[in-house]
Amino acid sequence: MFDILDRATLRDGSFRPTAAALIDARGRVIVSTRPEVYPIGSNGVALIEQAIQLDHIRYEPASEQISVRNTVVWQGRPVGQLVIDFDVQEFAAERSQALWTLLLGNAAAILVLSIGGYAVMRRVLAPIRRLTREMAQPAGTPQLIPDNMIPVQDAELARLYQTYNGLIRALQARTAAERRLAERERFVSLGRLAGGLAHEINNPLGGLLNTVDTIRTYADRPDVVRNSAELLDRGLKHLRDVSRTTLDLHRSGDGAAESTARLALQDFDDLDLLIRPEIDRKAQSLDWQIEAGMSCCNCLPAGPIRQIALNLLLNAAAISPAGGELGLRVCPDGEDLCLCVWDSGPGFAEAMRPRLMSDEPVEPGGGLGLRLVRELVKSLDGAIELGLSPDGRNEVRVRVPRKEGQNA
Amino acid sequence: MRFAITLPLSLRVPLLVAGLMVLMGIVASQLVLSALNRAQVRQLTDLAEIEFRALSTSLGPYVQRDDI
Repeated sequence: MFDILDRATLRDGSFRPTAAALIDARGRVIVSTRPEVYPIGSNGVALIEQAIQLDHIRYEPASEQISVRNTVVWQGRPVGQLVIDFDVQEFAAERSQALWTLLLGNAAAILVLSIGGYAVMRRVLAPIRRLTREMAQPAGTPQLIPDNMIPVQDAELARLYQTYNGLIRALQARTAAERRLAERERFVSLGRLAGGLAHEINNPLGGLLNTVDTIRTYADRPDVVRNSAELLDRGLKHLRDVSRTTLDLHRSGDGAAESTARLALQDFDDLDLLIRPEIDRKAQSLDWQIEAGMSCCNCLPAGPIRQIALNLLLNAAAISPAGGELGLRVCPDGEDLCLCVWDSGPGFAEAMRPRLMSDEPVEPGGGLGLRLVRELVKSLDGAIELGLSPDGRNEVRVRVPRKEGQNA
Repeated sequence: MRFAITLPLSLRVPLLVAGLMVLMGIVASQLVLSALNRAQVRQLTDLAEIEFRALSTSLGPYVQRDDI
């Protein structure tokens, strides 16, 4: 029996027995190829218990050998238990190799496909990146993408580019329309003034013509001629002042002198002269408080400030009822110059507010230059607020920061 | 998650696909290893049966006679 078991354990192969022991029916080890571990005649119950039954074989991936037991049956009778240790190193190595092959193969495949995917995605997204770059132009407005740059072979991208170009064209058209609207509003205020100014010029004109008649009639009386000439001089100077201030106001942008002219107290006198005919026409009263000094004003451009104040005053005059009150208060407020225009009218209609307080597109007409006021205040980095004056009248407050060297 | 959102699209999509491939690789590897384990156990059982049968046949008469 020793020979049989020895021959079995000395065999080569990938799944060979390394040790074997035979336990008889009484539980004694009767044959063992490793007597140093399981001596002959010792109790073999423990050996049987730690071995796996043949029809329930399982093995742990880390194990190098497994013990398997089975009953030895001779002529239909169980005569003992045979426990054999099998070497499973090659199976474990095969498993380990399969595991590593899978790991490395998967890692290599993922790496290669990821790099390839990245390259493909970069190529596919190149037109989108170009579009994003165009839309995020740091300076100026986004530009149209030329037709020869549109990828016509890709219908989807071509449609995207064409939609983008359509948006840019619409934006350009809107900007141009707003510019035209602002220009038109400037002339609307001029038109409104024109009536009052014609009246202002016409009034002294009658007196002046009378004076000319007086000179003709009393040409031989030097004292009468001298008095009449002085009267003519005063009247003509008044007419000159009126026409000069009107020209100054509506010449902005036509020359460098206007855009660089600094704000002076004289500008508010000019405004008074310009607005007065409109006020008189509606029998309104005008409160004029200029609390800001020369040092406060001379770092601001004259043209935009005069245009802002004039448009707000014209608007206040339009809103206020006949016989109502309105006023202008100009005062320093910290680092800002504050222009407050108040009136006794019912305040801004809801439809008018967006013209002054937001950048929403507006329909032409009806605003009396309010959008122009907003554009001018924005160009001066200023802010507009609607509120109540100290005596509870509706008031528009414009704050403009006083900055050295500021231009319109 | 915020970091993933700030990544450019050209990097985000391949990374997402790579992540899905890793998941798929793990599942597929697990399936392959399980199949290999089953095959090895079956093979072990067959070989052990042959071994036991041969030895039982050889040893049976000696055990019967108590001829060690």
